[in-house]
Amino acid sequence: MSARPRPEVSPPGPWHFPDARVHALDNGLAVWVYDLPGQHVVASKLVLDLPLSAEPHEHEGLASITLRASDEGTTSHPGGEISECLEDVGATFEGHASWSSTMAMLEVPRTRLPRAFELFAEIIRTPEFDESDVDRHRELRLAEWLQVKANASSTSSLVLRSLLYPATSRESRPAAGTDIGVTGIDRDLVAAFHARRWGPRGSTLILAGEFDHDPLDLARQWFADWTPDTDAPDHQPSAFTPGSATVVHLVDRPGSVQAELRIGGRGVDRRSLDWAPLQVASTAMGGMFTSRLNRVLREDRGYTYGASLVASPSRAGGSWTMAASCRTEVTAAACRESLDLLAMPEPLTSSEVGDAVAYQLGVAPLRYDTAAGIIGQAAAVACSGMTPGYVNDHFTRVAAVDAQSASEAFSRWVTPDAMHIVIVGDADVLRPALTDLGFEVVDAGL
Amino acid sequence: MAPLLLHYPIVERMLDNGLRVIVNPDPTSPAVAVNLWYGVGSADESASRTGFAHLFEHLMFQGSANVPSGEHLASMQAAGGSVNATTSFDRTNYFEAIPVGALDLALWLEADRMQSLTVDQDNLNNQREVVKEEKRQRYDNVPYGDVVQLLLELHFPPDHPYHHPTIGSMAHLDAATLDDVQGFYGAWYTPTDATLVISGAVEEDSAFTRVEAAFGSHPGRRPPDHARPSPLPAHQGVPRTVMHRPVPRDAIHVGWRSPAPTHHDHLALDQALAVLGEGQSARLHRRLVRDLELSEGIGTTDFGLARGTSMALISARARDGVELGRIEEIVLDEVERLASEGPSDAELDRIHAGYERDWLLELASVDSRADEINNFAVLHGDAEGINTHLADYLAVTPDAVARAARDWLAPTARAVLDYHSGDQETLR
Repeated sequence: MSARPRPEVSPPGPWHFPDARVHALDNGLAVWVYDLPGQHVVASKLVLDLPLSAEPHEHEGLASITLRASDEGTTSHPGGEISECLEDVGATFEGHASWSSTMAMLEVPRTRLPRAFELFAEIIRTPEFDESDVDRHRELRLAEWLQVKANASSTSSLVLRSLLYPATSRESRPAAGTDIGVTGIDRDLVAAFHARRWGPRGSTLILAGEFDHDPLDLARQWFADWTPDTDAPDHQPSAFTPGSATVVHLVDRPGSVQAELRIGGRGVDRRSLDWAPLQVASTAMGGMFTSRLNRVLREDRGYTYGASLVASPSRAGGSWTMAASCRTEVTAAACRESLDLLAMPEPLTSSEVGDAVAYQLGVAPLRYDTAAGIIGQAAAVACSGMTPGYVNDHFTRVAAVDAQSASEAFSRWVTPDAMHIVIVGDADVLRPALTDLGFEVVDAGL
Repeated sequence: MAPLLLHYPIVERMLDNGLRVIVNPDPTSPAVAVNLWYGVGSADESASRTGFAHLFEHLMFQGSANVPSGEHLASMQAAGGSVNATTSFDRTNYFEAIPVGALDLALWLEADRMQSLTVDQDNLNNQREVVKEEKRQRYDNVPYGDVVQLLLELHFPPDHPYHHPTIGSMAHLDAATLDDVQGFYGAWYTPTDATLVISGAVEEDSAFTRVEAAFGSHPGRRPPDHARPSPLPAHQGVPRTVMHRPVPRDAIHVGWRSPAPTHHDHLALDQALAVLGEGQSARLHRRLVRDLELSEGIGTTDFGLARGTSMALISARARDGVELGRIEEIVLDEVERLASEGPSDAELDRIHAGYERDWLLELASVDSRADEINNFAVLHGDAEGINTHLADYLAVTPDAVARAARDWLAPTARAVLDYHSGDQETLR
């Protein structure tokens, strides 16, 4: 056997998230440019200042349908021509309507950016919204909703969401809407929503990659005269519903061979001093292979393929979610054991926290090694209403997290009275097992 | 517009023990990728021991002579690295993406488990349970989760190595003993059947020196012969599987036996499938989703199976109330039209432009680039393939695409999976 001694690891050199060149157009559109030599596929993302709370309550899902129908045709290239034009230059257009922003992204080889960017601006500014396209996307969303409900994992996440946020909050319901709001969406609603809500004020255009010419000129050329008369959004801080660590919300899925377990609660946003320590603590508790949850539930017990804990900041507020999929007969025990671990009977050790910090900082250079990776992080910062310098400030704070600050932040936010428990699986088996362990079982569903 | 044909330096050497080593130095990268392929995949399993190759992927993290269970993942993540492994039909790969200061440790860890595996009954039992949970999570508890297994059974006969899915049979895993485990390890985990790629911020000479230090003393050992089935003939008589499951919508998968990725028709066939199904302006998307509104979504793919015969698919999910037969008719109509008329120049240019983007993205990061280098080295026999692949792809002509559609996607040579929404028992 090899007697060669185990090599030491030398610490990584300094690394910084790239700096952005920041500009503002006269119409209020902020432009962030990341020059990334060697990144031949360039990306551009428009982060609209458009929270889902701007949707009319009776038509939730309107922001998503508006985005999805936007690239079906433009006034210059109607009837699907626009997708041919984009594909002619090897470009993709995609987007997502999330809680604090609707985002649209272009990716294209750098040599073809000028033409692709012109088409990108055309989709943003002058979508056609043909009636048949809007009708089709409405029907496709209704079909997608059936698929979401048929899937145990997505069901568990959405039921948790409905418990975590009060019914008065848009955040309590699916981002792309349900049959209730989507059914009545039509061409006129979509066109009006676009006209009143897609605009430059408060929005950010991000470009990243290796550029043959300064992309600021492109931004000016195609967006400087974009001056629609739009409504300013009203950003509300997230509201939360208190929970209980003794109540399980059980969604019956008869015959399921596995159950989806979710435990979640209120967290913090990026402005909070607790964000860096909570992120590190969550990594130590459920973000690495050797994290406490995965080590016990997977490696010791064999209950699950993997157990995780993720803290997610939103624009104003945040949440954390623990997740595992377990075979039905051990799910009640896995739930009990997860709660015991989340109660953190022993504070996090220096070694656990040190590893979590090193992991967070160490994976960053590769995570942010592409234009799309950079733009994803920059967009998350932009839609929180923050500035590009935040990313490196955050890494500095992560590096300073120690066992005490991580444990304290965890204890402040992961508390029994703030958590909600959801299980989706075969209720006939799960209910008695949960009751036997002392849980109060409440029926739930979408 | 001229395509961006990049050139990545590739240096290859073979250690005395048969370990093939390929280095792609890239001083611009912020990290280094270690990517190790073993030639064993689920296609090498015996029909009574399915799922072993994948179980091994798990066991390889359970400890070796100088590394306790779980330590491999723990120390790589603590060094700021990401680690994982995957098992396919044709190979098992293990990979790390790490700051360069952790390269020696990564190589040492890989070398240690290439030479010894210290699985005991407890961690075998534990990982069996973990694999069962993986199967439930990925396949058994998910709508449409059995589609891949049904397609493999439809396209490959029972004695063919691709007849069974990589996840394998849980009964076979239950029957596995520690002796079986050590036997499989001893047979397949040898430097002689492995290829190591290092891509990233390390100089060529330094990389080879480090690899020699870590792996050079391992004895080489010839693995058993890999399963190399002869290419299968095209389907006859339109075999059809009809399944009923409690899913929201009907779905159809029209499939063909297709050539392996090394076959000279592979790229043209890939582009025929792309013209039919890639992007919003693809022919089948236009017709089935947009114009006739018969389908919620369509897609085309080839599984890229390397041993003689692969599987090409056109898949569609039906809109509510639409007969699958109606969709199948239009799929075949478009396939025949493509075979007889070929794509237009504009259509093929579009496919080429999109592929250029995807390929540039694939090579942009050292982790995915290292895996592509291994793919070209092992499956195509030449790591330099990553530097010529895009030009080869772009050289395919409309005529070649039409010919590939004619030769490989003949309607009479198809097999079909009709996947119906609804409970089988209640329908009877």
